[in-house]
Amino acid sequence: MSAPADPGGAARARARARLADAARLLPALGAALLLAPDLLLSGGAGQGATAPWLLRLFAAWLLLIGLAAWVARRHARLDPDGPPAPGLDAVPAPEAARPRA
Amino acid sequence: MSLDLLAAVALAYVAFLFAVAFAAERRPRTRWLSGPWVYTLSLSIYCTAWTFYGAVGYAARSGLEFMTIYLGPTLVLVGWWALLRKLVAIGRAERITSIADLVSSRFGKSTGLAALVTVLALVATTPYIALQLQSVVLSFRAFAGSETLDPATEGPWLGLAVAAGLALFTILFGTRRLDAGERHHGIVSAVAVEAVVKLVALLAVGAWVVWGLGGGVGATLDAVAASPVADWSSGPGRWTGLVGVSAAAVICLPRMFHVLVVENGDPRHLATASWAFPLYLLAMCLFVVPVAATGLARLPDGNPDLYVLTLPLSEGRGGLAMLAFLGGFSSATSMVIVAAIALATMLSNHLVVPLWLARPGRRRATVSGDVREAVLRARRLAILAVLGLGWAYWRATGGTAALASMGLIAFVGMAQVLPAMLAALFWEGATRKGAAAGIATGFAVWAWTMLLPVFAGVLPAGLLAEGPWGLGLLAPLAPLGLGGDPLVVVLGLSLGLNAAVLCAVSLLTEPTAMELLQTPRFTRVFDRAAAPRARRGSATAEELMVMAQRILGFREARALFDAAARAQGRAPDLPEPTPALLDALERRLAGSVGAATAHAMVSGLTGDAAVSVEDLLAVADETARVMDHSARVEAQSAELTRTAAELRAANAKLTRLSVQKDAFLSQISHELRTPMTSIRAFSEILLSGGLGPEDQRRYAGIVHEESRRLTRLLDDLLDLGVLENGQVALDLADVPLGEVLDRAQRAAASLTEARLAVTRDRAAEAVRLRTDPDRLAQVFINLIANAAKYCDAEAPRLDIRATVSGDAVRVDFVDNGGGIAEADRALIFEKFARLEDHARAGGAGLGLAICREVMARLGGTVDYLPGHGGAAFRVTVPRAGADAPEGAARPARAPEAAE
Repeated sequence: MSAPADPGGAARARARARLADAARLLPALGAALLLAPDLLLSGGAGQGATAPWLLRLFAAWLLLIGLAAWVARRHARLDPDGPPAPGLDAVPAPEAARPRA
Repeated sequence: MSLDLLAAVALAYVAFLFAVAFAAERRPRTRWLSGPWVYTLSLSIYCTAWTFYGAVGYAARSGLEFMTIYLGPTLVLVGWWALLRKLVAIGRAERITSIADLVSSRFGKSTGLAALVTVLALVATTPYIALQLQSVVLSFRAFAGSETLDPATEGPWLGLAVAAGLALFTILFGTRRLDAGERHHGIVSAVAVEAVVKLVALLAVGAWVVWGLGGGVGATLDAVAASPVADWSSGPGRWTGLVGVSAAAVICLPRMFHVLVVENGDPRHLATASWAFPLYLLAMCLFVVPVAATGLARLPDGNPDLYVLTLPLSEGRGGLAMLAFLGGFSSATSMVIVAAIALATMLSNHLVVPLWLARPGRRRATVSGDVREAVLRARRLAILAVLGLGWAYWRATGGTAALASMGLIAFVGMAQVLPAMLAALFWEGATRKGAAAGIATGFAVWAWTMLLPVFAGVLPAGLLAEGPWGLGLLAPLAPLGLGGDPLVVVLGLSLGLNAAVLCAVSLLTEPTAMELLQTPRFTRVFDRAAAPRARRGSATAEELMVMAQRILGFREARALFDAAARAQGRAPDLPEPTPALLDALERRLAGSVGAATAHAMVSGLTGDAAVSVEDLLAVADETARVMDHSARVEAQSAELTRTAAELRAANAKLTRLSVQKDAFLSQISHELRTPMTSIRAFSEILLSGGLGPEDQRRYAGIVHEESRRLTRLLDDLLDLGVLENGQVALDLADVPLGEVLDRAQRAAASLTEARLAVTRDRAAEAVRLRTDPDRLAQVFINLIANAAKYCDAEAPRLDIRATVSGDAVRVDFVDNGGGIAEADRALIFEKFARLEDHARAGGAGLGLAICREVMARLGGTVDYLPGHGGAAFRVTVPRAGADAPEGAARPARAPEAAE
């Protein structure tokens, strides 16, 4: 099957927007997962919590790393050249400048 | 293992690091050096000796809580899209050199704000550097078999030697170039190597503890569950607060800002680091709890901060202990080197150089003095000063018992920049005064409640617990009488007050003009058009070039100016000092000396300083207003001119029509009067009698002919009236075009006496039309009769050509006469129109007006065709046009009337 036509890059732009949303949601998911022990254990339910929660936190951590890696991979595919570097050593042509008073 | 061997290995390791740094400096463009992996590894300076040794000690004291120090950075890195991406984009676009530079640039390139952040960074980082020196000395002492530390007698010279070595390395590789925008490849490579060494060391010790001492994962977890750290020990909010403060630290600590933003070579590296760095952190903390639990079980009297080292030593694993020592050494040295560079850059750019420039007569000295050397010297001295301060602090405090507490103090201190930084990136309403007030408030609260207690030994008794003069509300240990977890209280109080003051003062104050200019460059870094600011300068290109050379060096400056000259099309001469060039130059200089200083230098040289930015803005505003007004007046004037021209044209047409009407009236009077006179005269003759029958018939014939002429004229007028009122009924029929033309030609021939040769194309006329043949014939008769009447050629000839075009048939009538003058073409279809040649005019000038009305009824047109030599008319008839009722029945002007 040949690649579907994408007139005007609309599908690509939508994919980029979805990826940006995913990237913005990721830290929220991370906060929910990694701050959970404070909510669950600080009230005095922390007896013998170290060993099981060590494993749980590592699992949540690995999940976040995996999702972040997925976002990074998608990002590299959608934006292989990266954003244009803004203003680096750019010396605009003189007509772009206003005449001196 | 002897201390000599340890020292030899350490020296060999340092020599190896020097070699790596030298190699990287020689080939800075090597692909893997500028790739995402070295960038990710360089971030590992987050893991200092505090995390290498101290994490185990932390875990031994507080259980899982040590993980927060790694979880905060994890959250920031996986959330790179929201914050770090913008930070790095700004850092690259504005050539930011440090966190102080970032805050100062955003808030109007304020020198004072930069100095405030620099002082805060220095105060917060010095204890941290002391901590690294202490950890190196401690680890040496651990090998020597004594964990007790007495810096006053045993450690000072070792600590000094370490500090001096680090200073040498940092000066050698950190101040080779001035432009911080040009990354320190040597140092970054050495840091990357050290990152690998400390990770391998910690993993090796951890693996040995779990599988060598503990008997596998299950057994180790059982040991953890049975150890003193088996329970959750944090109070409510402490875990969240620690995650938050370490998240703030990974952005705000000067060294972290330096590697994250300043040394970033490509924004895409962030995407890789977003998962790779959290993975590195996870690996670093994988075995911390097992090592702590095992250490607590086997060395209950030992210093938990050194378990990583003392566990292998106590089991006779000298090699492993050596690896662990190198790991800790790497952690300490890499942190100190990068922190020293970051602090030295801030000190020289935001304290030393502004003071130096502020000396009288220094403004113009940017041209004559050797700024480049001065800045580099300032930076070298600053590195020495930073390391000296760290060493002095360590000696003065006698070392802090727990590494972790000192690290946390530094974290909370630097986190005070976070509110201003977030406001700088996301809140356009934040002002310089707000940022300064917020940072100062947070700084003061932090220093009072967190830093002061460190010096408990030298403070008056009771100050910490009871407050100054017995004011309990100001007691550093329980500020405002707030009990609870001191860290949560101090964190909430300092950052909360900081943010509240920032918001309140920002809402109450106005930003300066410079801030207004700088704000969108930060908050809208992704969608900004790099618009150069208005500048008014008196500097020549030569002066600018000389200044740029002083700071950037000859080759750099030459390249910058050559590029500008090429862009302006002036190469190989020097470029014009356009605002764009000044802007680019200032940004480039900012990479070397910071934004505020670069702005002061360029402004000082161009004379901008004499005219304040406020003045410039006022001038710009005034100019914009005047230009706007002038544009409006211009538009109005153009509108008036257009209207006047239209009025003139309409007037001319009216005048022409009036003249035509007068001419027509006189003509029609004449036309009516001539036959009437004849009729009266001959009827009087007939009435007088006495005529022969022959004469009677002749005179009656004349009267009859003249009255027919009158009738014809009145018929024409009536016909036109009926057509114009749209009251005509069409009698549609299917006829060939040729038949209609035949009738018209016959009728026209009978009407006129003139000899007119008509040529036709019978084949083309075979096309059938659905139309009113009588009306169409009327049009054709008119056109043929006109040709007969007006064609002024010797042998008048008329070509009738029919062509089919889509749904219409075009019939062209072209004669070989002189045609119609261009000026008259617009008038011939008007009523009463008749051209000058009155003598040959047989009618009253209504023929073409009637033709036009008839064709409009038939759904077609009749037009004059210019460019055919003689007079040429084109009749366009729809082939089925009369079927379309609206086309047939609608009055000719209906479209206009409908509007």
